[in-house]
Amino acid sequence: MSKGKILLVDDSPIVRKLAEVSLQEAGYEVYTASDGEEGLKTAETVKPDLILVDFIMPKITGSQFCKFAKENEILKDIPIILITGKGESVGQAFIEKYGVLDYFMKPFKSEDLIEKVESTLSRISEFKYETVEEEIKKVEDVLLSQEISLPEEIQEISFDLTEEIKTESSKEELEITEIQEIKLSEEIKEPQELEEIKETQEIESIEIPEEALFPSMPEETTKLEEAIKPSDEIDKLIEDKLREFSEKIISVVDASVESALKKYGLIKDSSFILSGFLDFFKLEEIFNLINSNKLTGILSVFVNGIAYEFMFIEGQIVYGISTLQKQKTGFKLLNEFSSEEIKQLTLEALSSLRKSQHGSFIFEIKQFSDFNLFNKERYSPSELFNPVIH
Amino acid sequence: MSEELQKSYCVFGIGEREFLIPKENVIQVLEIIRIFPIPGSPDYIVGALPVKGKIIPAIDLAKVYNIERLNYSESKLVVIIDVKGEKIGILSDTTPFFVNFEPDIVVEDIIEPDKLFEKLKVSQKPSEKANDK
Repeated sequence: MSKGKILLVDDSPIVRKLAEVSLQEAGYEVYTASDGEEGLKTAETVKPDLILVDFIMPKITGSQFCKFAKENEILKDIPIILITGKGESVGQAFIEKYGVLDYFMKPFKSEDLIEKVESTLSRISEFKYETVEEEIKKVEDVLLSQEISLPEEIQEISFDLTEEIKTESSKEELEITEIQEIKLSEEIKEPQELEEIKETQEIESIEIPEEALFPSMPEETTKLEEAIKPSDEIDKLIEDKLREFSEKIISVVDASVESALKKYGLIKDSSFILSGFLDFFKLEEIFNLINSNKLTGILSVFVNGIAYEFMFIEGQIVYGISTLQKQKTGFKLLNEFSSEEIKQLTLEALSSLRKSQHGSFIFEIKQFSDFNLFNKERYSPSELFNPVIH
Repeated sequence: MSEELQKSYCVFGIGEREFLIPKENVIQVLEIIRIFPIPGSPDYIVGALPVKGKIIPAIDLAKVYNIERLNYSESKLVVIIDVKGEKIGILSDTTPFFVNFEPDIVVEDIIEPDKLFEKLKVSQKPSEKANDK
């Protein structure tokens, strides 16, 4: 059930222990090595998903380690994060010189380390071990192909449109000025000469070529009829694309508009009760409000990109969990937890939530049909808040 | 090839921090057997060390750089460095080792012996004055 294998190479036993414990807690399989030599050996046997390496180490330094790793067939694709206490410039130099993916400053907090590891690993899985250069190339290719394809489409469309306009206008005039046509057709040869030879008669020659198209219209209309068919296809394509686009955009706009309207109380939605920012409401007040009104529903709090979720039944908390905790526990069902675990999770979520002051929350009333929920242990907010304080 | 271009440093640890000092300034690394406290000396001077028949001051950089030691037993090792002909002993919490790397990597926490000496002198003066008064 591990989220990935991580090799940690650091000469400091304290750093090793701290990182090992915190990463293991986060669900990773952790291997450690006390110097570069040992690190390379373990890396070859373990083949970790990520290597964390210190710069200043006995025997083989971080820079040499990176060099060897890049030269090694087995290790060259494994991303490396540098851990250093020797300043940002070292990290930058390592990124440029040794192909290190990222760097991390020592001393660190274990949460920061986990966050860094998680973000890098998720980034890697997205790009499937592509190097930065390959990524750039790919992006450029995509951009180039888009640049080429778009103008073509536009050109085709614009071409068709101008032709259509010409045909429409010319058809009308054709019917009316049938007699003139013959005369004009005689003049066709003239304007060409006029254009070329006589500069003084330019004004006439400009007017004539437009009308001069008419005699050749029958031929052109057949061509245009052919041309219209593909343009229909293009129209369809454009329509389809527009539809897709509008569907996407409208759904996004709808959601945001709906939530905005809800926020300002413009929609009288029975499922919606209260929302706001944590800057103005204290967390405790919200909980007490829900408790005193004996509401049943879900309170979602968004802080720093983390979503917290608290379930209330008749004003009492059933559980509370953050997205981070969900990742840690591996998205289990509520029933898979013991009541003690739930309480622990709730307390953890609460305590981490209480540290942050900026964020927004929404409480929605929901009726739960799952009968099991009502048998779960419930906690009153004050009961949960007090142990957190002490 | 690149070995020649690389700079060598001696690395020693104080608390959780690592300090680097140019290799050419380091004379030797000793285990402390006996250290004599010097009464009335600044707090960063731990005491006097007998080295090769001479007595040299041993300093604790933790006091100079305000580093907190957590769960560290008394440091047993001392790095003897040479600053303009004068010898100083620096306590190390870890076993000192040597590293080489390219000089274009700018590393923090490098101790330049000259500057260290000046820093010690500066921090010494106020205490001397205090003693005079």
